[in-house]
Amino acid sequence: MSQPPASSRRVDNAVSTQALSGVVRVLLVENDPVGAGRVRALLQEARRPSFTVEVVPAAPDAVTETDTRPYDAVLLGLSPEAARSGEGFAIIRHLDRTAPVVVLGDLDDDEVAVKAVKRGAQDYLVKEHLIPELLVRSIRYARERHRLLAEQNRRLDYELKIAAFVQQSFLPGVMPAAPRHDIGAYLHASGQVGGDFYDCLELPDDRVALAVGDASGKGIPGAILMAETQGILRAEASTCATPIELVQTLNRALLHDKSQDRFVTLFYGVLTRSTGEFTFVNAGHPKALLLDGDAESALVSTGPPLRLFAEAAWEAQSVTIADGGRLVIYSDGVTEAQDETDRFFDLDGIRTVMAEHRDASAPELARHICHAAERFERGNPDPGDDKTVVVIRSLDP
Amino acid sequence: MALRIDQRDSGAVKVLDLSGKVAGDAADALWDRIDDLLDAGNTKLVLNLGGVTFIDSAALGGLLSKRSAVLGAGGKLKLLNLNERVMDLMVTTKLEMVFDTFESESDAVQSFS
Repeated sequence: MSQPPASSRRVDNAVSTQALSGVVRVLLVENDPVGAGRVRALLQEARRPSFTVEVVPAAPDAVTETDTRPYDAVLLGLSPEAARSGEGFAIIRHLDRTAPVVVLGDLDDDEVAVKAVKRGAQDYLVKEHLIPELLVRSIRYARERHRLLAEQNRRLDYELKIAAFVQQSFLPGVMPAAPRHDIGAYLHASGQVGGDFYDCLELPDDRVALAVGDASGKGIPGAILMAETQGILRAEASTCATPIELVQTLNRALLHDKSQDRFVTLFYGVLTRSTGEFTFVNAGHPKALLLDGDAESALVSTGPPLRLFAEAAWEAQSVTIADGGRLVIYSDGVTEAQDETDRFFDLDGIRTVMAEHRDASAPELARHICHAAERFERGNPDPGDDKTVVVIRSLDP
Repeated sequence: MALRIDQRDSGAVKVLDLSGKVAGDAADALWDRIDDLLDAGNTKLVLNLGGVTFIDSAALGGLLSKRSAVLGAGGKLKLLNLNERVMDLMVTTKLEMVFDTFESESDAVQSFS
């Protein structure tokens, strides 16, 4: 089931149907006709405001109903079985996108009530204890809270847009000049803030460091972890003698808090300009592609992502980017781009673009790959991930 | 495609048959379900990923976190029927060493005893 983005749905809901008609439209989800009749009677007893009540027997019908018609509130009947099995709660989040949900339960049980509220319900009322005043007040407060939340979300959306501008400024504006090597990068951000980053830094002894990283988790948590990682990387890259030392230093620094649910995949390599030797550590990042004429090699993962394990071993490997050779490092948002039939862009998508643009400069090729992946997923209603591509092209002498 | 979760019992083990994508906001339904199972005292869990086409990196983090939660509750979380793409993700991130993965359901269920 595809959903429009949550934010646009929230905005739609800001136009209250009550404001248009003076009547509060309530959707009641109740499979017991007697119970449904009772709730309807309670609402009709209320003097103000006046209510119209539509009844659907099951939660899936409620989804169809709220997706097609505007409601001011949903009263969700929760049977003891659905409450005990936990299966009755899943629908609340979904319904809450369009209207506030008040759960009407059979069980007079605090734990069940708290769980309903945790899953997005505005209130939990015990059916047996319902009286008109209580029900009307609960609906009124639920609608007010839901409206305030929508307003807060709009403000948050605005602040996220500002955060995205700040985040863009972390990326290097100009790639280092390298007479024999052409280096280019492109980042397509999928949302307002994201977890992808790349960097390119001058090192002593005619070397240049390249990094492509992806902090797991979308939105603010991913963005903060990304900023932290890039900050440490910039501070430490020039003092670390080898890529392994840099990766270990970064890992130690990022591990200061123990929550295991977020991590960073990082491809970090150092190019020695004079020889074309490229030494890299791939910390749980998708394999990079090295193309030399028609010969292709994959620079696969040489250790786990950062911030997962204190005692992890990474291996460094070296390859030579031969004259005319091209190295493409990318984030998973490129290969995992999916079209409307759920096919993946995959490595073949990258290979196709590389074959089509054999003579493109590194910045052009990076941009072509990102744009091709982005076009590929345009028909898919699910939002895609950030896409980052860094290309090194060794120029023919 | 949304994530579909079907729950069943195999002896004392709870098996969740998943299909679709474990990615983005849709994955929240899976975390909620695992929390519910833990709340109800079910700590022997098998996630059957046979119908899962794709797991994104945020969801992989979520899986790690739920694995810790299940371990903390004295139980175990096992993964069953990983397709090539999901297995590739496990190998790339070296997490195939962290998660117990199985190709046969009876092996997965028996591994609890």
